[in-house]
Amino acid sequence: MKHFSEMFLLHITRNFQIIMNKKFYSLFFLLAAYSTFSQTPEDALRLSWFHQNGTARNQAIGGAMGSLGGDATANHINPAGLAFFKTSDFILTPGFRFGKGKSNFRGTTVAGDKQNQLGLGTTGFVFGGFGYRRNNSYGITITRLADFNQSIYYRGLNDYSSFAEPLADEFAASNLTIDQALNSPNISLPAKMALYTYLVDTARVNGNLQVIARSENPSVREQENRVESSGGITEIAFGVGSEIDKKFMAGLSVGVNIISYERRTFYHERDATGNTNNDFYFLSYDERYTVKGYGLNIRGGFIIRPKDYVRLGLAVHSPTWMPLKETFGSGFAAHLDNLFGPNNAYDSVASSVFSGGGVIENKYTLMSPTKIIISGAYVFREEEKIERQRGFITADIEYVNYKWLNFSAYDENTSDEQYKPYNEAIDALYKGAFNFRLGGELKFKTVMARAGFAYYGRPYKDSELKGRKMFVSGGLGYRNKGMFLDITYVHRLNKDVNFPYRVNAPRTNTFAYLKDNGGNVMLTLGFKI
Amino acid sequence: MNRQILLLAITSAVLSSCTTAYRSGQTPDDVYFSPARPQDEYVQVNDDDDKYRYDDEYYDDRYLRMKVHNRTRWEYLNDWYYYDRYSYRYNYYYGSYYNPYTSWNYYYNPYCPNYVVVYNPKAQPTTVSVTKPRNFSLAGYTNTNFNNRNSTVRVAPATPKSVGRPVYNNSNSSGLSNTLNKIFSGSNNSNNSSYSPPTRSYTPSSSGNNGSSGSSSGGSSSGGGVSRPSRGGN
Repeated sequence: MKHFSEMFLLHITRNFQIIMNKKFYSLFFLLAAYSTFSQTPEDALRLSWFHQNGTARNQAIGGAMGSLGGDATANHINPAGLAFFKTSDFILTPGFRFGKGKSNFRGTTVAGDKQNQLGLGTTGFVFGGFGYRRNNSYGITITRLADFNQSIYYRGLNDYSSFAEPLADEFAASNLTIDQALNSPNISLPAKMALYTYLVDTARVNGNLQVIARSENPSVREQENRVESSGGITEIAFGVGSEIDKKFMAGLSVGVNIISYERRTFYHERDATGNTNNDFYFLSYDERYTVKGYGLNIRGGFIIRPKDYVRLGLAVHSPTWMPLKETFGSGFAAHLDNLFGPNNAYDSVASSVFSGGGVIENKYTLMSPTKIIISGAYVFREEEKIERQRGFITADIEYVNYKWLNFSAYDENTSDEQYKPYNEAIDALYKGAFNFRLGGELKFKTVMARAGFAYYGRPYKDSELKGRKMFVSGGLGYRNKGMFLDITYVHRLNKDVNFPYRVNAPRTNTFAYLKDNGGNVMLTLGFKI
Repeated sequence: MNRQILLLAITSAVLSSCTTAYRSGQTPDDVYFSPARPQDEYVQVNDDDDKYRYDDEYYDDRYLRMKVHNRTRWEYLNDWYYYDRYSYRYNYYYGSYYNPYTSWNYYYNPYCPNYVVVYNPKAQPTTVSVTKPRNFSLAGYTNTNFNNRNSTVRVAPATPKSVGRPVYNNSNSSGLSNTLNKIFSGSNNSNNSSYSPPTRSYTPSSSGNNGSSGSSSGGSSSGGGVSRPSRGGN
């Protein structure tokens, strides 16, 4: 597959140079000032559907921190928890994530590539015991909120639909001639490239002029899709927590997100019948897509202690406002057997042919949904003598409605109206979900043992689309002589789906079932300062 | 990686040397109970010789010393020490706003150093907008009819669990051996009776298009722009 990809890219490059020399492109595209958009609802979901990261101690207890407090992770979940600090900490949390994906596409199960990646849990400073009666605490922490490093691979036979079907549909619905479509801003790049390479064409079938997709000629196609992504969301949070009185704590934090996402998609589809006279051997689509930007959000919450040992918390996370910039590039190739003679079967084209050679760049704004967290904790015992501290149990319930994801204009040059179909697609696809985090700790003077569980519910409205994130965790901790060390293992059992393309009703869509199983080892080294 | 480990080790060493207050005892656990930070047992003497620093501490100390010395004599200063030094008429850090150096002069005096930022923009790669980089169809996204199994072929023994919704076609109808025979014999072509690709009528607004199937030629675009390359014919 990689060999093929390299060959494909070389061919794309060569092809593009030839076309450049022939000056097939026009200044029309350089002057075009259309509002553009390549972000899909799935890409929006990716920027808000991820599990809560934190310190090793926090991750060992499932990430629950809505009411417990006393851990720097509170700065990212419920800043009221900072108020439990009367002392100051510096913590450092490196991590190592590994695992292997698995997929099932139309009955074919394939194991994915191994994934190894360094990570960063909550790291930074908490300064406790400042201000009036030493009731205020401040936190400056950085956390890798989301990790987009992932390798998805699936393949299988398909006797129903082709990648080219929605492209042919799009062209047919446009009522444009081929040349008009190749130069129309309303036709997508993949459709243009399919037309350019004659994969999508016009033909008289039984005397009727029709739009055809030559990849639909074989009765069975083998399809494979490889999606390699990297990047993540790193958040720097500035928070303050205040102990209003012994039974009430409040907090507020501001999060600055640094967002980076890169994705490479290799899609390949070939004739699985072996027939060399049906005008289709294979098609390939290669896409390079990046999103960069930043995000801003505010979190507020409070924790009440109605009686000793009991803590109840409520936290609200504002939507994260994310002005984003994306770049896009793609290539397309088609081999049409002997349609144009034995030496003229293969052709390819790059998206730059249609963009006049320029980098395709778009800007837009995305708002993530609001999060609401309610939480409870029982801490046995809240006493100064460490020998008498025995442990705790805590749980969070979080509600987030992914329908609240919203695309909007980046600046005054674009209008919100053009994002309406994308927001309608979000409404049609996604729903609200409850997330659960549960964990506990047993404390033996200086040594602690922990266990936790977290479940992030399905964001998809349709129950056929299996999507969930589930984590089982355990860890150990040691605190003595001004420092502490926590080590945690988190095992993830995630499920999701991936659509290689989407077709219009009454035709039916096909998708791959994905599993992402693996582990994450985290270590927090902390010092009292 | 080695540099990261080295950085981690140095950071740890530096910070561990800072935890003197807790080095001899147990580390407080803020989750359970967070004691107040340890205080110095003796009054710390500040040897700072900067007697003219402009901060609260200096003014408070001076005020208290004067009041202790003579409670009544300095009463007329109360207002200044309590209020005026924070008022808009007195710039706490730069002195009076009427001070020519700390007010207008600081910003407008041509002899004061000013820094001019010279911006020399580098050449940027051309960026363009393409209206539809991807094929997006709202109808495709709202189409929740799924078909995840093949009706004529089967290649893998493992299949997804069946689902309750009748609209889905998640089971193969023919056996494995039959399927493999079809695939690898090359006899399974587009004439398969159970396979019916979609048909799409083509009614372009411009007339005179009779279809290009099989012998397409490019370069017929009017007004420049992109057109299909000629592929000749067979």
